[in-house]
Amino acid sequence: MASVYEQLGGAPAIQAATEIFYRKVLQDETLAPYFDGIDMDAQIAKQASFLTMVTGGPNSYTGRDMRSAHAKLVARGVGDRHFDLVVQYLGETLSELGVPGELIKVVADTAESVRNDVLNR
Amino acid sequence: MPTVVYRDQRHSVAAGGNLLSALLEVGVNVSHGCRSGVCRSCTMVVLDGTVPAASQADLTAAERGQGLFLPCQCAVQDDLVIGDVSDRLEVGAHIASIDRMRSRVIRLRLALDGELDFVPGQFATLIRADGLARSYSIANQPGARSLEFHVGVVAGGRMSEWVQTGAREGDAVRVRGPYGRCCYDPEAVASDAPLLLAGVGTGLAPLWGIANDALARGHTGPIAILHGARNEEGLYLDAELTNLALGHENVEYRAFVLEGASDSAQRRPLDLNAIKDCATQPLAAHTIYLCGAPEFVQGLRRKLFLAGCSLSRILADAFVTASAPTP
Repeated sequence: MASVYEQLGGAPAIQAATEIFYRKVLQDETLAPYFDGIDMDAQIAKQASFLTMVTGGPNSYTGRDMRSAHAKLVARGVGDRHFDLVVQYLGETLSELGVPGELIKVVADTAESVRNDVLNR
Repeated sequence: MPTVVYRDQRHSVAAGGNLLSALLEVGVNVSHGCRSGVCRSCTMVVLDGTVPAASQADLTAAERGQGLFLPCQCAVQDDLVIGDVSDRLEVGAHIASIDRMRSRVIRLRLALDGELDFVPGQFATLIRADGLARSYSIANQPGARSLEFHVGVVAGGRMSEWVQTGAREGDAVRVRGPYGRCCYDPEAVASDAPLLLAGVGTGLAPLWGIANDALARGHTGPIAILHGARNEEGLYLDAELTNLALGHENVEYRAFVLEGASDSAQRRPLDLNAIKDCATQPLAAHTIYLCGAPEFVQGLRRKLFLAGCSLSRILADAFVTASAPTP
């Protein structure tokens, strides 16, 4: 079965989804402070890598990347509440793009599988 | 088996093999990220040979013309000579003229000894005989083996003060480049789409180049040029832009100053609200160019993005001033 990544339309679709997703994240009062002063281009690239991974596209993300990338944020208080919001915005983004609910569930489960890595547990 | 040459080292790559993987395997330290053609961090330049179309699919026409490609999307088929994006040819040049414009801005014209294939909106690095280097946006149109920079004189700025007081016509310099993707791309922008060009200070130089390039390529959609300055004295291209607007029905020029009286400018900051007021259609329908001080460019880019503009339609060039030399 084709991955969600392929069904969405590959890299160009991920780019579009990333913008919608990142805009939601930046507009969230709980999440936005963690992105202050962050280079938007570098951040978009990371978000695109993340979306590529959770939609089953070609990527080279590892649990170790997830841990080191978020260690400083966890030290600043990022926890389950923040992770839940990110997964929620991910689902909303895919829903807006017309991805069916059962596929969004697959993506959310993939995101869920890295929760402990992201939160350094 | 195709051969790939990088920095005078020859590497054999299996036909159809992924170039990024092959380079990493032999120990070439290519910075990279997503490996999916999205993040662009592995961008390199092809100096000889032909790269597959897939490795340039997501780049602008200007970037493709300059040989940029993404090794992570490159299945090697033919022999290639590749380099880093910074491995551009340097061109010798001589100072053709130094004219003081209004305000503390100098129009520096260079006569090039060779070709420099640029697209208006790009920038190049000016290198003095002693090696001092600073980057400036190119304000003129291509084709005449010349470059025009608008050099803002920065107090204590080594290059700009030299241009103001030490440089003479005929002085030999070098130029490296071009760089940047803040350009008019007729493949990405419909010829009747609205353009918004907003700049502060000498951020006007690339915008002047982009506006003229768009007109030369037959752009018929509205082109709004917005210039922000501290005071009227800083509106150094006022006359040229007023004339450009008079000569083209689809060009509009608006000026903004923060202090002092002005006949031609509005006294308000060039911010998101000012841009919204100039928009003829929903903001997200515009292709927007932002040039000038980093805090202006980055702040506005974020606000425009949050206001619904796609980052792919916000082309930005932040002018970073060199940090002061340590005593």
